[in-house]
Amino acid sequence: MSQSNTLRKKKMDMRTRRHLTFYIAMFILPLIQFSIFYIFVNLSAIRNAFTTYEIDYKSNSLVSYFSGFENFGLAWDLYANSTYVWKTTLISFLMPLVVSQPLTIIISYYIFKKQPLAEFFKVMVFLPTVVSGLVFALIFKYLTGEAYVQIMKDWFGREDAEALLYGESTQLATVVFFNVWMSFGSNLLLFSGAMNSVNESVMEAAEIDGANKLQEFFYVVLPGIFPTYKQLFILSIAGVFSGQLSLMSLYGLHSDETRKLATIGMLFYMRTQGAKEWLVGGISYGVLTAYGLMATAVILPTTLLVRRLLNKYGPSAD
Amino acid sequence: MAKKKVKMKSKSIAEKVFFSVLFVIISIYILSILYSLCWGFMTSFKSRLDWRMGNYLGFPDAEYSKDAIRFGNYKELGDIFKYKGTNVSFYSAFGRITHSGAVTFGKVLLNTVVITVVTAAENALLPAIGAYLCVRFPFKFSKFLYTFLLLLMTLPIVGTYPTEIAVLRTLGLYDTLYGFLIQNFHFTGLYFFIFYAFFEGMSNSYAEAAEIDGASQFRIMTTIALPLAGKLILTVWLLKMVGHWNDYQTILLYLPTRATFAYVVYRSFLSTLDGDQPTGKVMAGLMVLAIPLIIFFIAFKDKLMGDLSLGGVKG
Repeated sequence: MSQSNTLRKKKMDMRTRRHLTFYIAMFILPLIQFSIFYIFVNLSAIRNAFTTYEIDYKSNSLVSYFSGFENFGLAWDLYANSTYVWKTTLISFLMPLVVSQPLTIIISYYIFKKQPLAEFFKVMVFLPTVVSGLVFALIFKYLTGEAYVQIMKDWFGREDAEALLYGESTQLATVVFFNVWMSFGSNLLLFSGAMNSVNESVMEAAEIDGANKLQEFFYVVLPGIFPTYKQLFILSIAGVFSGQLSLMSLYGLHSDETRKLATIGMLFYMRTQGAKEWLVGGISYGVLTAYGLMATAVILPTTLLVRRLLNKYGPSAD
Repeated sequence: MAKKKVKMKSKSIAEKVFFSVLFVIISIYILSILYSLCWGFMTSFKSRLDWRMGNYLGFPDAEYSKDAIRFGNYKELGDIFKYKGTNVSFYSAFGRITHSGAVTFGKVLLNTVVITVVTAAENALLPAIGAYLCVRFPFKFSKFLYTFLLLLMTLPIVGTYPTEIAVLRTLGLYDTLYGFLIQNFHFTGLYFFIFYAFFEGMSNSYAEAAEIDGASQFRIMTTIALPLAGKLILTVWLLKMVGHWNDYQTILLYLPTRATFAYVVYRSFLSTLDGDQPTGKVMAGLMVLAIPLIIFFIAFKDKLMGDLSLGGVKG
């Protein structure tokens, strides 16, 4: 009996060893890539934040030296100094949470309840996600530019009308409107999938108890899709310093309007572009990376805290 | 009984009003999307003169847009592919390096195919393989990896672009197609969890039966597990292809001399001052970018819009 047990154990060990060999062989290359492009890059970023680079023209090469917190000071001046940048960043963050996601949830519910033309609406609402944002941005730019000015002149006699994307009082609202207009399709599939996963017996029980569709929406469906909403909400917080308000598609990278309306994410992208050619001063790698570390130091604990709070106090399907 | 009937009637009226209002709002939204695309298409047949005569909203004028109506703007699009190209010079650990190169239609096509098709295939297959390995082989490392990748997805690390560019330059991978493929050779991201949920729900009996019959693990993965996930892999591949086709920002950052169609359109119509390009030509360029995707979407809409759920991901 003990001999057969030993044999069985030996076979299992060989099987486990074969599995392990295959497992390591398949994982090794992606793990090496991950080690370089994530772990090494992030560790280098920490080092870069305390390093200043200069060009040594004699040897035609880069030289670097430890510069303490100098880069952090420069980054603070660059990114924290402008209240307007914070305003547009806040708008970029709040807009999906307050407008786009709630509307997407309501549209998803309409499709989920298979109301008239639901399937057609699902396809059409998703279309802007497929077609390039650049296409819609430029069409939007011309429609709110020359076409809008002509309509205001010919139909309303307003000779002083100016293009909505360039008027001082209208440009930010127009940019926000464009972003909301383009935003519904991106999470439609996730919310639709989540609604389809809501426990049918709970829905049936609600119907038996006399709940109407609105009550079903608020008391059954919303708690049911809360895990998906929670993940997206956490990802929104994590991406607060990355939002760009589609400024690049609407105005181009180097336009005055992009500089004027830039969010922190847009400013960072612009300066990373600039850092390809310029290595000193405000847009050196060191300063950009120092900004990244400061932003991470703010966002990381905030994301963890929000996740903890949502897990503790958020609604549940139960 | 009468009171209950009235209550039920008012409930159903409230529901009808709610869904009717939603119907109207969604219809207006869809009409705005369709109108924009139709307007862009119609404007792509207008000449510069027609536009300057103030014909912003109407159909192309038969006299002013004679050439444009015969696809004149589309024929002129060839110009936007014939520019000298971008010169990029940078300092790496090995000194000053310069990349440059003329842009031609052929090069743009090659870059677009590699980035759109091949990179998207990486983005679909690798998370599938990574998720399969973690589910099929529940070693401690698999559990650690799952938790670590979940943390990675939700914990933001901001501002690593410059360092990533510096590392790519040091490794000689910056601004190269093979470098871009290596950069995308990973299984991290949202789709890992979608595949994980799929493989968790898949029965292990197929793999066990194949193992008993003497199949190797590689064979089990490639002939049983991945084909079973084939529809999901295809959906992710299609979604990623759409994203890469439209993306010009990544090209600008990591592949500045490797123009794709999206980058050429961006460069031609946005990086120069307004008014340099006639509106009809701009719209023609946009339609070249949009129409293949619209056709692609109509052909594959069921795959593209298959339910992707975050399954049992609990944050």
